[in-house]
Amino acid sequence: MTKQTVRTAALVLALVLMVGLSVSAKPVEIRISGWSAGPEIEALMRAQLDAFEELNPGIKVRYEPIPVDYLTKIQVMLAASTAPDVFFIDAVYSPQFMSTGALLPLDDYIKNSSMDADMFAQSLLDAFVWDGKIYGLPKDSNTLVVYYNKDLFDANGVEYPNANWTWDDFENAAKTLTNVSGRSIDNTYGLVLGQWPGRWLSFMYQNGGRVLTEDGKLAFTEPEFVEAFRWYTDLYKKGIGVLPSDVGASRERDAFGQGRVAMAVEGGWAIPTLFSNYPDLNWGAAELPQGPVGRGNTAFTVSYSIPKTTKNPDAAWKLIEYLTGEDNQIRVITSGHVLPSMTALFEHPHFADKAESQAVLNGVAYAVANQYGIYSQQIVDELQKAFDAVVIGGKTAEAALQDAYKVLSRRMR
Amino acid sequence: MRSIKLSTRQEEILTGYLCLTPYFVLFGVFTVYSVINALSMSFHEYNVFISPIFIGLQNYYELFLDPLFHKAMANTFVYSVFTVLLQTCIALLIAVLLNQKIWGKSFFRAAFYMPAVTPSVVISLIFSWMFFRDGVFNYVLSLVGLPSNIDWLNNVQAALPAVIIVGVWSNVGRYMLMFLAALQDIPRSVYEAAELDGAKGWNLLRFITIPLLRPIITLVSVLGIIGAFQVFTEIYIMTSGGPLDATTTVSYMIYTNAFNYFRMGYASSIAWVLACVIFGFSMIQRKILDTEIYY
Repeated sequence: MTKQTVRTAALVLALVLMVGLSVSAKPVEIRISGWSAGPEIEALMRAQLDAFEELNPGIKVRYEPIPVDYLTKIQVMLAASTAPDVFFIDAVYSPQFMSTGALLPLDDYIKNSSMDADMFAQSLLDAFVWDGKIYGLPKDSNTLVVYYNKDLFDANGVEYPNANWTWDDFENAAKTLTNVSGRSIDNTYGLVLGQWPGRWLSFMYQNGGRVLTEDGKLAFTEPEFVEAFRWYTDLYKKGIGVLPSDVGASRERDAFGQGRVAMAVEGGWAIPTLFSNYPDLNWGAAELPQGPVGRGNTAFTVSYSIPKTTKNPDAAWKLIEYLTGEDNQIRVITSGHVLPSMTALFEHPHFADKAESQAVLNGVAYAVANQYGIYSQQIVDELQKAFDAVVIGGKTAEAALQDAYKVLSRRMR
Repeated sequence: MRSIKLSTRQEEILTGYLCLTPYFVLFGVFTVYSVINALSMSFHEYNVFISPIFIGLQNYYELFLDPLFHKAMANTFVYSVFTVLLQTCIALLIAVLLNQKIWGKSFFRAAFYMPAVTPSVVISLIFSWMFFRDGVFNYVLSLVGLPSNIDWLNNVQAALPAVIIVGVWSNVGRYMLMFLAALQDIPRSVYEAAELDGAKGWNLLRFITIPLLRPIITLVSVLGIIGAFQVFTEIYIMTSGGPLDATTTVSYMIYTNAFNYFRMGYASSIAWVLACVIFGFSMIQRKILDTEIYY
């Protein structure tokens, strides 16, 4: 072997090594999308991703928030195979994604990780399980609570709501708190009613009602459901409950924040709105009242999921594992008003002095996911129409639910 | 090699087509291709995630039996007839008024045109606040002693009129501008001749202005019909098709089926029926309005 060949061989080797090293050092890039819920939420997400990148130098994460028409954009991107590697899916439409095989099952990843699916609250995780497989991990949690205006309660001599309230207590309080003697602009009402079924189905559950049977058939014409639906819509007919627009607000939390209603049934998402938009309001939050059959609530959540088309499933899973992991959840809950999805964190000291957050978290234990099978969105729309038909159109509760049943059973053939 | 020699005329033609190319490329991709694709999709069941399944005319069959589609069609007709009539008349009236020598003419012209350059989302949001039970509309009604306890957007009878008001308000400016431009083109001499014959005020408008504006009235009403049949933003922002489908229009129904219910095939079939209806209407309208006028 001549000196020349050795030198050439060394050079070639060095070159190969350099190329090889630079290739292996090139970080994997993955993308994550969610809807954009304002600059604070976006900043919080960026902070989480920065922390993740620091722990995983081999993975770069590009954050692509979608400001409007989230569902539309995600669908189009999935169809065009350009979907982000990790994205949010709301519980209400996750069955449409899960049932069609658009998502990657996460069971094997969970098995090989330090995590356990049992660490997440059952009612939250359930929203992302289809045919026994897990298609996403819940990001956070939310349930409904009764927000109450302490000043209006005090002025009318009504005791604040507590966890042991019954429907009767709830209705009587609303009646006492309704004050319609003055000019319409000065009237206050006991309660603001939401039209969206996510706001009122919890009351049907408290009476043993259900939207679907175990095998996915429509069940909202069962007497337990109808009876509760009549009770709830009667609150409007009796004049003690109003729609937000009746008192000049577009959302329930605004009707409540403006002091026009004494109570509102809203999710934990109203807490930051009330603090920032209505800082002078003197309010509290309690668990929903108990119905004739017992407790019932609706769990609202969003998953981090991975599309089947991703080119980097391992990196995408790593990101989900980090985002839903205990350390990151602690960082998120202590930095704002987000509530954790891991049951162990419900007892976190951060919530010790936050009665309103505790009330929301207590609901998780007896809630069911805000999700109604693969026709979820159509069922929600038709149930809202049933509510409108009673409250606005003057139909009876039975007739309105029967109409919804007819429309849906034709579509669900 | 023979060099190609073009005559001046051929060169002009070539330049013309070259200048049009960017438009035709975009038109081809985003209109022609999409429209044809939608036609083929309307014969399929397609939910984005699974490849389309051919189902023949089933979507159309379902469509013609769907009570919501009938309702949406009826709503769309009512909306279109009222918006187009009102906006055309009001726009013409304002244009004629602003064509006079009046004080503050340019200010008013700009002011009436403002809605045309305001995003319709903004307009819809502001109007939906004005339609609240405690809102401006009810306040005005109460001043003149009319029933004023209407929750407009949650009232089955009032919701569609509310959406029509917004539609008219946001379109008037654009069409006023078109009428103004056309009014400038009517020669003074025609009016002078008529005045010599003793015509005044209303008769000038009735026998000179309106007949001479006929082509532009056709244009405005055809454009108005096409726009009205496709109304979406106002509905999406203000009512989401409610209450009780009172404001569900055909285009809103297309949207919910495609993007909320993941029924692309069904949505495409609705879209095609809507396109045919719009086409038919425009044709009828042209037949009625577009007769030649000689003076």
